[in-house]
Amino acid sequence: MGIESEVGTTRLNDMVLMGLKKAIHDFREKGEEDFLQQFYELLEAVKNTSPRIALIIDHFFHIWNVLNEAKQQEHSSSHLYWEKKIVEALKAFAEEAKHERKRMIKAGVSAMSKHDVILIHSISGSVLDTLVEAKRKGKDFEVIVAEQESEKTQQIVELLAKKKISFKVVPEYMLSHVEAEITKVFLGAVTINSEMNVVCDAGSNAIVSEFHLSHKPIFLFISTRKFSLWKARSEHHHYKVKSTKTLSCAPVEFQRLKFSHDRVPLSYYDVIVTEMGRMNAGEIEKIYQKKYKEREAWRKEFFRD
Amino acid sequence: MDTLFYIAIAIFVISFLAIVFDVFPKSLVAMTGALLMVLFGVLPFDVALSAVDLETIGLLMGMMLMVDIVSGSGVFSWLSVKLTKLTGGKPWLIFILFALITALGSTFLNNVTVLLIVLPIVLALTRGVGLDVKPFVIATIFYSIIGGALTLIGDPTNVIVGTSVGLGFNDFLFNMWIPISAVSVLVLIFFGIFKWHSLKPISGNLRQLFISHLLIQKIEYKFGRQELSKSFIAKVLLILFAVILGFVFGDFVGLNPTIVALLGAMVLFFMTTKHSSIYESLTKVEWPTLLFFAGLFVMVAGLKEVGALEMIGNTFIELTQGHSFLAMLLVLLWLAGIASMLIDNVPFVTMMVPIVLQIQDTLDPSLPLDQMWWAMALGACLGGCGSPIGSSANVVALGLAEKSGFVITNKEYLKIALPLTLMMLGVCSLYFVVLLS
Repeated sequence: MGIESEVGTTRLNDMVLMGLKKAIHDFREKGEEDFLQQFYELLEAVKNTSPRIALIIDHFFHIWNVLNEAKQQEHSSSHLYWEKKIVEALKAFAEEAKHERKRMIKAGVSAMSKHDVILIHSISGSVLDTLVEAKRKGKDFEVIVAEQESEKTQQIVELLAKKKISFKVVPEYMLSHVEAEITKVFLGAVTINSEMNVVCDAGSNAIVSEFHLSHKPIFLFISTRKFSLWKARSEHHHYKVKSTKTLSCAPVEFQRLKFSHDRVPLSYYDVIVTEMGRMNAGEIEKIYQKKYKEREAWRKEFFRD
Repeated sequence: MDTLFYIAIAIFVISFLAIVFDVFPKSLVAMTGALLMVLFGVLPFDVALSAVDLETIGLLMGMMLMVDIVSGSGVFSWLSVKLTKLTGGKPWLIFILFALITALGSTFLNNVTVLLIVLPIVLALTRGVGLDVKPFVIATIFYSIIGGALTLIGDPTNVIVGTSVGLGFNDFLFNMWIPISAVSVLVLIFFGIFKWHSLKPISGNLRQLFISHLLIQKIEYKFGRQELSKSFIAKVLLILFAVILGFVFGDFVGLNPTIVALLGAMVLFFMTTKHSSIYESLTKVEWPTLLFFAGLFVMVAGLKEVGALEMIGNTFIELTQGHSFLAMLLVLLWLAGIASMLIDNVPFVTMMVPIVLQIQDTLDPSLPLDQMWWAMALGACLGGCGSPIGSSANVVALGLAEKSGFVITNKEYLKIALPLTLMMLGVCSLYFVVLLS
């Protein structure tokens, strides 16, 4: 799921659901068992990506659930029947996501004050949508983009320019020079795991640490559907990119390490903006534990993982 | 034979070997060789300057400038994304549609430019789904070279032949379309038969289908989010179309292709001042390539000056004496084909043009002498497919595949490309046999 770092979790989820819909449409199974078996294999593959993306895994589990219920209730096994069931489920997800996003954006916009200077970093659909909505509502604010990998920063810059949002770009390692003018930090995330760590874009850890120390309010935008409702893996699951370069000016070879994600303690964030409103880390932990217990019960009932 | 003869031969052979084995940058070697020809008195300076074929250089420069503006408009990326969507992830459709766009693109644009646009998408689609990328990469290389062979401006060797001999855009199109169509079909059949396992439908594999559709969406998002300026694209397409018309009809009104290309580029700059800059585009012109050509022209002129080319030509005539004109064509086709597999075809063709002209002087003028140019052009272009170093398209495409984590070894490449190239040259031979019979 290397795509996630390029497009953000929410958009990746949309892409995955659309991809699944089209794949099911094109699929020609050799019978009901073949279809279910192949779907289960796909679900297993989705479950084992690194990092695991809860939102997507949950959707696959739900569809698996829908398919199994349908299998028990009906006796039809035609391709059209399965497709119809899945399309219905996907439509429901999309509808649900739309409402959630609206609520989250509303909560985000209401947190913005006049003359805010907001620091953003990663490609987060929720953060960017909030800024766009705030602009639409005529809020007076400015954005500072912490410059990271050029492709990602370019995407953010393109959107801000398109929406006529006032912004400037500062390299992420030079943020201390603009620290004083920043009033809020808006960040997105891939997930929150069972150890109450936020899995987020590489570089976020340094930004959160810096602004946590300088007591600037740090806002995390995350839907509660993104929570990883399983035990976090103990190993360091983020991929590394190693490359050995030879500088043209001097024959020096060195290793350049790159990491895909950071893990940041949830407690470092001051406000967590969800579809349920604005909360603090303690409240989020309670919601997480409640959802985790519900999921455990559900898992025991339906799944073999 | 005097000392100058041996000096000229030594300069040329050493430079040629250094170019073939990539000892130093090609342009550096060619320019140094040219300067040495002047320094040692093989050629007077003014003769050396006039030996540089500005028609070839101008045509290449004009096309490079146009390609830069056209690429900047995003129209090719947009077209590739549309094609990607159209494939629906079906391997055989990816194969056919991208082969088609590569071939079509290469007829008017530098084939390396076309590969740089098309190949990353082909690689992303095929690699992600877990397909064997080899047939896709190799077919893309083949079609970029095949497409380039069709037109005057599609391949540097055609530019050299066309501008040196005065063959126009239409001459290439009318004389090359039959063999080029035949080899295009041959390549399609070859991959269809021998690589079907990589091209067959994936409709029975849900996982592959899913990844395929996911990748299509990613490609759509990545390339499709680029904001395109409709007016910019319209202007680019308009001028591109006008330039093609200029190439096609220029022959009838005596409009030189070099003038058409340079004029097209200049008009495009004037019409797209908001989106393009001549200063930036001039930095994108491949000056090393142009200097390489200039150096080669001077070196070949040096060989001509000391009578070396005449000697090679006479040897060729002696070897083919008593044989039919057809045999001479086939020797030329295969010689150019095999040479292009092993060495850079540009110096080879640059050297061969005056030799062929000399041979033509000794032949019966009632013979279809122009066929010699088509035989050489076909051999020089298509032969480039036969080995990993046969043309710059191969080197670039294999490099791109390697960057994406897919190493196609020389052995793997040769296993597919060599027999297929020999078959293509065989089909071209058959074409000449039929044509002359």
